[in-house]
Amino acid sequence: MKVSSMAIKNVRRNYSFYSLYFFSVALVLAVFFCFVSFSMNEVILEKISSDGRVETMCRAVAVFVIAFVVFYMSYANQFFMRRRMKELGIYALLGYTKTRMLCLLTLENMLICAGGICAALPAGGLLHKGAVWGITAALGLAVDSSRIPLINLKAAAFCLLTVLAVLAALTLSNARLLWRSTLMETIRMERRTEKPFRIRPTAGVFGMLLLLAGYGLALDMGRGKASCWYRIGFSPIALLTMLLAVVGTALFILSFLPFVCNMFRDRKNIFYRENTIITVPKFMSRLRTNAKSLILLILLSGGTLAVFGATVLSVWYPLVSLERIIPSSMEFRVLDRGEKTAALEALDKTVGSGGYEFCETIVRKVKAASERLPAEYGISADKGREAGFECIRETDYESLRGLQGKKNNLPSLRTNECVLIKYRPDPSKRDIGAVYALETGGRRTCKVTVKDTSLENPIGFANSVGTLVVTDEVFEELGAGSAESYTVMSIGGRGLRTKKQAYEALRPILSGNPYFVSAFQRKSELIKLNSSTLLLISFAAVIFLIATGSILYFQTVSAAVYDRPDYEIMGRMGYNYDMIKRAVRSQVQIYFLVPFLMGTLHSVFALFCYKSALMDDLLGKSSAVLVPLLCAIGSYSLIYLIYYQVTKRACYRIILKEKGR
Amino acid sequence: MHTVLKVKDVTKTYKRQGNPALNRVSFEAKEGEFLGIMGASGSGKTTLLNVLSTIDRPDRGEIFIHNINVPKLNHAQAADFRKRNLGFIFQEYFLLDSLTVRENIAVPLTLLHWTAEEIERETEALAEAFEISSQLEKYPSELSGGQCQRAAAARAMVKRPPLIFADEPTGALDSGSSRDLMTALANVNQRSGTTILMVTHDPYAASYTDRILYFKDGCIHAALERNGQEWGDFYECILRETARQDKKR
Repeated sequence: MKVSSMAIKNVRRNYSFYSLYFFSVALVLAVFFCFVSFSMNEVILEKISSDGRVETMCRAVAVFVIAFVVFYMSYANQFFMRRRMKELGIYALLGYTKTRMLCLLTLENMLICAGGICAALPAGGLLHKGAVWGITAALGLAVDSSRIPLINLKAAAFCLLTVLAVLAALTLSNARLLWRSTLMETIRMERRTEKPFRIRPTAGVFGMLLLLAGYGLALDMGRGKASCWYRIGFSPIALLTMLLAVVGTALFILSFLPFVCNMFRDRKNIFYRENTIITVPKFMSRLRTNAKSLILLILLSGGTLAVFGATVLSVWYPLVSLERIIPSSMEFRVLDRGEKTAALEALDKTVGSGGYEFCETIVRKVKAASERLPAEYGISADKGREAGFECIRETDYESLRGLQGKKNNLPSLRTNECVLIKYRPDPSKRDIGAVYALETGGRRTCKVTVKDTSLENPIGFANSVGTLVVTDEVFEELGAGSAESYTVMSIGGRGLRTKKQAYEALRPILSGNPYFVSAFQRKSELIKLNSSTLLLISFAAVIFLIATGSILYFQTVSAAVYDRPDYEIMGRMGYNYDMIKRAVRSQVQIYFLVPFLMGTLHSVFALFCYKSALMDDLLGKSSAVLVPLLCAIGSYSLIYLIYYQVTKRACYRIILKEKGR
Repeated sequence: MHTVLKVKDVTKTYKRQGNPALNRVSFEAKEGEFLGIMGASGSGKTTLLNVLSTIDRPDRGEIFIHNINVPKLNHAQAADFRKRNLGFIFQEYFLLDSLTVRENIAVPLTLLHWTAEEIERETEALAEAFEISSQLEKYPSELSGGQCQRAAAARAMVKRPPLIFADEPTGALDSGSSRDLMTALANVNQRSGTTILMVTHDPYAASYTDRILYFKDGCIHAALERNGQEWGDFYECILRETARQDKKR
């Protein structure tokens, strides 16, 4: 029989075997084609990228995506090669040369890849269309969809070339495996032999300690300048943390989990139960055969989740911080009375006089002397301006908070008391009790004591940092001197923060005012700047999570095929369908749960470390990482849940099919 | 001794085959009896075993095990029935690879929710009876074929079922291992009074039984009883009958 007709017959007659390979290849190629189509979509790129940043990111992410396609297809190919070694051994016994066998394998791979490409192009095209629709809807872009074809021919050609390159690589890898294996090895490769598990409690406990130490170092970053990251150096500690996490994970899987399972095995009261007696030893057996993959999967999913979470955090955190950075809907320093009047008239026309409120606040920049001057006092000096406190009246503070729809949460002040508005959170409130001698003109000073500190600045950072809320009496006293003062106009109103028309009405009038800020404008800018990054990273993250899910699927389904006789004998011993299903389900659950939990745990600590190290803490809440974290874990859980369900059903089909269910 | 197994007019035809695999088969097995089933390949031995052990259903006829008409049981009831009343020994052992010998023997008892102490006690008693006490902590891959089959026999017997089905238990064993297994099986049979129904091609293994039914074309074609004969004499009888059956074929 010709090799080509044999390859076609093999694929046609072993549909259930090859379909697994076919669908996974089609899925990966569809995702790949979607990505390539997006990166070659000039219509959308010209809308979201003005400086070539998105194109650069696309090129960077493309490297990872191609690497993933190569890795994934090689893994799938190797997996199927191993499952076919006995069959190949029989071919060898029948007199097939290794070259002929390689031809057969290559032809089969070509058939599957050709089928995969045929399925992937329309599917990937649809995915791409969906992604474009999502981006245009999120960013409010006007895009002519008819200019975007379902199948981008350039992208299709690129995909085809990549697949050809991967096919060549697979052929080389198969050739290597065939020529390195003897006939005996080929026939025996499929046979599994169970050997006693060498339990190494010391290595297990050591691994656990390494992991805890790694997590401890990540948490230590939260101590800021007191942490060893600052004292010893970022790079060495980062490397050490990574090393601890990697080695700890490896030892956890290789030694700690087997040790825990063995403890279960020794506790006969727990172990001698119909489900446990099957599940625990089978899990131990799979730990031995798939330990390396599991370690890789944990690190891959942990890393992917951390990068994805960090990207979401980088987008989300500035948006949340906007409430502090620009507390009113719009704000500007009154540099010219005419400008102010024109602005209010423009607002009257756009939103109506009842559609907005405004508040004018006088800010006095005052020099002060104290042994405990806060960091905020010198922030202006860092930016080339004069150092000093920007003082506002207590009553103005209340009015501004009212304008912003917030409660006044400051304590009532006595004459010589003040409230310091902090730039960064200070949970220890160490400024309370500090006495500042505020210059009121000439050599006179007015002493105020800090009664409380707060993060709630009613004036935006563009107009005031290091704000001091003082009583109206003290404020008047400060006005008697030569303190520099200016007026800040804050505009608020229901729904005004998101009203584009209001911003656009003021923009031409205040275009020359460097102190003009708008919550709407800043938010739009942040979304525009970050959404493409978020999109590309999300894309890469989803691809990597799909890779981990697919690998788990392959391994679990393969184990189910191997274990089918075991389940048959269990059925004869009296395990009913529900009990067998439960045993199968438990095994799939444990096998999915280990990388899921470990990956999540790694990413939680990595994200905490990232946030503490690289992000300006404006909100002072550790819960600030919660939303990005939940977002990352949510996506991860969703992908895993889908894979878990698909895998579980595939295992049920494999194990229970022949019993008429 | 009362009847443990009563088979009455059992017929089974597979869709792809024209002739019935079992054709109006009827026989009985008494409590503690060691019954052998012999016959050429395709004579219906394995079908009979599957039907009797509730793995498959007959098209017609009745099978009573302890007065329960087993073909009438649904899937869950059949599984529960197997759990409590039947033991299995196979040619390929079918021990669970990832479990040690001790755990393999313990599995049927966990299904019956025995306590850990009871399971340990019974496991060790059976391991001693089948002379595999020193192998209890080993995995099946570390044992010889004979040891594996004795472990499988211990697993089948550990819950003391009233009826054990053995499908070619010596088929994959050398003569020494076959002898060890059959001796152990016969001893346990005599001591515990368990009824054993064994399908075999091997006249030597069959010589340990009390009675042999010869199957041909799905029917019982001949029967041979020990009737108090010594092992050697019964073995000679079996050889002669087997040769006669082969000639007829």
